[in-house]
Amino acid sequence: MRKAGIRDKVGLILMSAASFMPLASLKASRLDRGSPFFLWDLPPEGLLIIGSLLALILLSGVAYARFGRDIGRYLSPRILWSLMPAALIAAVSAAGAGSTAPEGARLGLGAGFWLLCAASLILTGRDGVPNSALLAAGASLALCAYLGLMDDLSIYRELVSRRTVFLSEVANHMKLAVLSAFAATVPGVLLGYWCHVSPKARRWVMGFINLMQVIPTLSLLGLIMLPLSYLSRQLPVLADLGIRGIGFAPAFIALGLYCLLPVTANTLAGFSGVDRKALFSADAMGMTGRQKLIRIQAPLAFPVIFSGIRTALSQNIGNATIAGLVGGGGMGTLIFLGLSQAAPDLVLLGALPVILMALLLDGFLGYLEKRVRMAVLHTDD
Amino acid sequence: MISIKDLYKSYDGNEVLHGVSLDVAPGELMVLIGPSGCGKSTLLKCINRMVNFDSGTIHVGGRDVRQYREEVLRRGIGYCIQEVGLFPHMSVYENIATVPRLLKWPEPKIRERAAELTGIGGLPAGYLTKYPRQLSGGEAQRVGVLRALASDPPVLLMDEPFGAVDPLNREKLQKEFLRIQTELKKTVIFVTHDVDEAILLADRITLMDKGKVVAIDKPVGLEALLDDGFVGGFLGLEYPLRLLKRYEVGELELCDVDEGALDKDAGAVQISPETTLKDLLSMMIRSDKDYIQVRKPDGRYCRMGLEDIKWLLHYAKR
Repeated sequence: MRKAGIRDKVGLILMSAASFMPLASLKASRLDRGSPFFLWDLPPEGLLIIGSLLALILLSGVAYARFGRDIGRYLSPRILWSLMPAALIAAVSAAGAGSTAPEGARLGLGAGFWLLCAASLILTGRDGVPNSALLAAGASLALCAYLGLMDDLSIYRELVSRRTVFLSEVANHMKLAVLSAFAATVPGVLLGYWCHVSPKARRWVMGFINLMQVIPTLSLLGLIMLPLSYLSRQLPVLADLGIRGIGFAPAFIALGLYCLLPVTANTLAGFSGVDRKALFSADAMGMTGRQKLIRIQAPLAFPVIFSGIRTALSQNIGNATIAGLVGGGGMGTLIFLGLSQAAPDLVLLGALPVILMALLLDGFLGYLEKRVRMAVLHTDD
Repeated sequence: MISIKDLYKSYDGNEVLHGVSLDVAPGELMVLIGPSGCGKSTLLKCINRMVNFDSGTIHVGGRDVRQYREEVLRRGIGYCIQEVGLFPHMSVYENIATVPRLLKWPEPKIRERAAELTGIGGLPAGYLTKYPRQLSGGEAQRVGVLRALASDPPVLLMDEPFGAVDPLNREKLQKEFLRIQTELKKTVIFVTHDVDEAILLADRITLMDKGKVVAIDKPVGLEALLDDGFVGGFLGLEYPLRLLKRYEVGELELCDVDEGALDKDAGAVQISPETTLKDLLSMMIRSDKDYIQVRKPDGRYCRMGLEDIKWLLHYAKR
């Protein structure tokens, strides 16, 4: 391996610290706090699984040092680290199988497990987690699930028992986040352009949008609920359309308002950033204002605007959780249900997919953004 | 072709142009020169109304520029600036095609014209598909000039177009532009603050100071005004020496002398068509004699004294 960077050091330190934290706990029921056990409490077969993965990583590291290159694309030490979550699950499930716990007992994953997973993901890349590592981690976890190694995990039981709700809430969550971001795009771009052409508008509009951003999400929801419930009572036709003080509508509006800032600010930045010399030439060559807008300003501002839409979408995935509070659906429903029942695994079942969705969407949009930049500006990077 | 009368322009009470009058004949290359802030660039921008003047008139091709809609006027006048201002998201071809497209030329005609222009500008045809960021500074500037020439406008306005290019490339671009200009005979107004550039390119030079025209004359003619404090200060008292650099042997008719009449001991220096009068003078100074003997590119000999060089300077055709 190359000389360990700061990132690798952080990963290794985190990993050593996490090794001393409770790996999992054996719980008699869903709400039982359970008895924690540690890495060294694992049965021999569990230790063997983790030990052999570490040995493989060490071996591949030695091979790298000996031959100066990886012995195979999927056998590099970095990629092998991504198999750690699956190995840990296999080991934990071995512990569960070896225990004398009664039927219906389940395994709650502890802080040690999650931190070890995080540390090994940190160790998979020099910057960011490479796609191949994500793929390997995902595939190995899917294999664990297929082999039934997850059956005793508390979080997996929660998933199985709420499968239908889970899937529909995932869909709701995406729908809420994506639709509200798109709905904010058109007004956001128009406002951004208005700010660009009028300094006076810039002061007011940006002031308003920044204000929007500092209102806490909950307060904003409250502020929106009041007029909406009043409106729906005055105009029953709105209520029939599903626009009420609670539910989808207030969440949708609040998320849209939060999206205004990145879209508007980036549109403004995009238009302000257009090369002044190019604008001067456009004037000097006899373009009308509209021709200049369509042929020069809009294409040159587009990559920056797109990156604003990307920010809006990514932050929306996280923010959409709050919709669960007002009956707007989404993963928040599961999280807040879990909180009210003091069932940490249900909270995790709601939270983990949010992280996953945010990462996947941001990765995909990042890729698109790169393509857009290349298509418009013809850069090679 | 371009006629400017009594032009005034002020910004926030500061008078930038103070009664400027100027006539440029068709096919003439007029250089505007002067210290920074003298109004030369503003004057140029008034012509295509990138700057709106306060009073006075400008006629281009016999028509008052204020009669045109701004866009229409500008599409008919080639314009290029020091910063080039190529559109970064468009290929060289699309950049060149900008004005023809605004004028709604059919695409095949634009393609033909672009090919013709790369020939004129000495760019390989493959450059049409390149993008501005792939070009060197000199290449970008060349494309900037070609873009200004794209719709074959009779009038060309150039605002220090070679100012940001390194000296070696600048000289190359200047000579190339001179060649293009001899071929196309555009009416050009060329702003610069570089005296050597003015001497090399100008048919006539307009010297400006504080928003007024100080002198309009051929490069050679300005020599007579050097006693004036401002003119002498700006052009430099070595102006006559700089002037010598404008003339190359290839463009001059040097006298012939029989080989037998040469001073055998002094020998003769071989010169090329690119040798300038300045080079000849340097040779004379180095040879420690009041004349030099040269072997001309055509193989014949010439013997010249200081008087001959002065004569050539003042009676040369250009």
